Amino acid sequence: MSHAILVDITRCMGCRGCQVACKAWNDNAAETTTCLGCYDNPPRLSPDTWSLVRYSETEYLGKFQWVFSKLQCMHCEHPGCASVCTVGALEKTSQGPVVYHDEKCIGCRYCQYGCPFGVPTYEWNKALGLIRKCTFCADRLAEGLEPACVKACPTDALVHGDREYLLTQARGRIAARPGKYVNHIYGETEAGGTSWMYLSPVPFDQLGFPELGKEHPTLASEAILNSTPIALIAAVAALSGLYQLTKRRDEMKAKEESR
Amino acid sequence: MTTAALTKDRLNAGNIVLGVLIALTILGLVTGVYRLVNGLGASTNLSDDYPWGLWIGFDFTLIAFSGGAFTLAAIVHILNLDEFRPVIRPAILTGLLGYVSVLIILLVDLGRWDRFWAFIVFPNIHSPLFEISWCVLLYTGVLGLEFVPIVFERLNKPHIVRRIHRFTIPIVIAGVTLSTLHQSTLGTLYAAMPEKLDPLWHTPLLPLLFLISSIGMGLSTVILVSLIAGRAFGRKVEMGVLEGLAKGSVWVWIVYLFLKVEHLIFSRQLGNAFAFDTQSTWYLIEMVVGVIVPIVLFSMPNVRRSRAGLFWGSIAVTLGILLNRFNATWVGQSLTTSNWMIKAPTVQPGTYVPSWMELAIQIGVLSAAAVVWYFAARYLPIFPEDIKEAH
Repeated sequence: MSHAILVDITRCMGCRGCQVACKAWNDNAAETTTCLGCYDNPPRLSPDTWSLVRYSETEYLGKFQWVFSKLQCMHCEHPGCASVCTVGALEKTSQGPVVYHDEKCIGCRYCQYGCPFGVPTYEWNKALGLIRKCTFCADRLAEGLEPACVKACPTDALVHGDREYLLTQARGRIAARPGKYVNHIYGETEAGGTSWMYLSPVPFDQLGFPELGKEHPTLASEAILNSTPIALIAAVAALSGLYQLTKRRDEMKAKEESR
Repeated sequence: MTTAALTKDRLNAGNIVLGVLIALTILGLVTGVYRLVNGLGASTNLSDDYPWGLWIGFDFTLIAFSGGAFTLAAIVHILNLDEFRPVIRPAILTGLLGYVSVLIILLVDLGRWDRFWAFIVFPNIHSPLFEISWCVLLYTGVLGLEFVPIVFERLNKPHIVRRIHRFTIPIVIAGVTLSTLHQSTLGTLYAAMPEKLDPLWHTPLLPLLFLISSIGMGLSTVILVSLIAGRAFGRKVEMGVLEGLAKGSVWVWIVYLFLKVEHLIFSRQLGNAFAFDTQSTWYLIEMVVGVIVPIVLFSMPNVRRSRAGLFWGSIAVTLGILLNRFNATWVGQSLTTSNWMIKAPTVQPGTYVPSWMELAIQIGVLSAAAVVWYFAARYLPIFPEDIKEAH
């Protein structure tokens, strides 16, 4: 079973139960914040905030829309963070979650660049900091429980299940109420597909979701690195050949001159 | 007259410079210890918006700068162009000190520097940074091997020197191969983040561009180092050799320019290149100072034959490389626009200016490298006149 979550943004009422449940389950500290002119609180993901509700004020179809979307690690099918991690501390499991191995991490922060969503956060304020992000409650999933945020959600905005099953569900919802949703399931193909997928009443870019292609972000870098063994052999062969060529050229020259 | 004897006279003038460099080294060391003990947040201005900054920018630059070692090794030993032999030892010394400086700064930049060895035990063959870490480690070892015979020469152990020299060609081939791999993979590092690097710089050709520019830079590194060391030690510089390096670099930069322009055309970025916003301005400065000026200057035989021409042309190259590597790490970064998904819309995009501690540590390491270079050149047979036996 490949665990996934369908986030139906039309059902979210912005209660932040998911934020609180996440902090409670993971023993994450609260943050002192100041009002920044919007409801988002805290303003961004951080080592202590792995799940966040975003309050978007936007206009669509001539109407003012106040839309709430829960944001966290997307647990991509082919995660950029795991691909670039120097020591393989981030790993996509077959069950779905992208897990992080504390004990391997060297704090190089390359994963922060590898993620197309900018999710991983670093513990800058610790002397020996690590990367922190949503774990998909992999520990709860292993015990047959649903993630803490899903359990806390009072409106079933968060639905947990197998990825393929949830995609069918999502398509069904769009088909049943086409006026209610934008005809797109965000995360079905973005960045190679993600485990957390979204349905929305307004276009996703108006909610700040980045426009991403179907390919996973590290397609190019992985292709280049896969050619490393060939490149190595080619370089050694070319250099050895070049050396022999020029050595011969010098030997011939020396022979000519000694005549 | 040997270098050691000549430098006795010039010590007074250089004393001040040496003193300042040593003072900067000590400041860097003390600041470095503070950083290691207290963490990155306490000592740097890095943040989730700019996880990499001054140190990574300088690492990239230093690795390109140290490209003189593998370039000269290939020229002298693989292409068998013996006329360039007089500058190969300064090139290797510069490379070795450059890479050791990179290793130190990389260590200081790691959040878990106490586990720096982890990449040896936990592999990830998909990660460009994994490949770079291994290549840099192994290549520093190769540079050490290329340098060690110089030490044994000084210690009067010709039999050990001869034994190591038997392996010169395999060592050089290993060094050039490792350099080709990691100089290009530094470009692959940014190929892994297509949305984050400004399209003026982002291209699948990045690995090739980084490799070619490291060769061009390496040639100018050797010119600069020879001219500066010549001044410091009051020795006559091998102008013919430096002229040859400058002439060769013209071709390298022409190929590089061609590839850069071709990328602009194919990615339809020609308009953006001349938009004169922040990114475009820095891009144009980088191209003009770092590529066009050197091509023009070094194409002229009069410039090549003058010390000032060689010096300023090579400074232009160095500035161009500095800009290119920092543009990829800093100016061209749109990390803030890619992580706006998880940041409230009213929060201003983050900014980054290096903290004084970041600067102090960076300058400290560079100063230490300069001090070691000076004493190595003074007490070891680095310059041709100090080498006792012909090879």
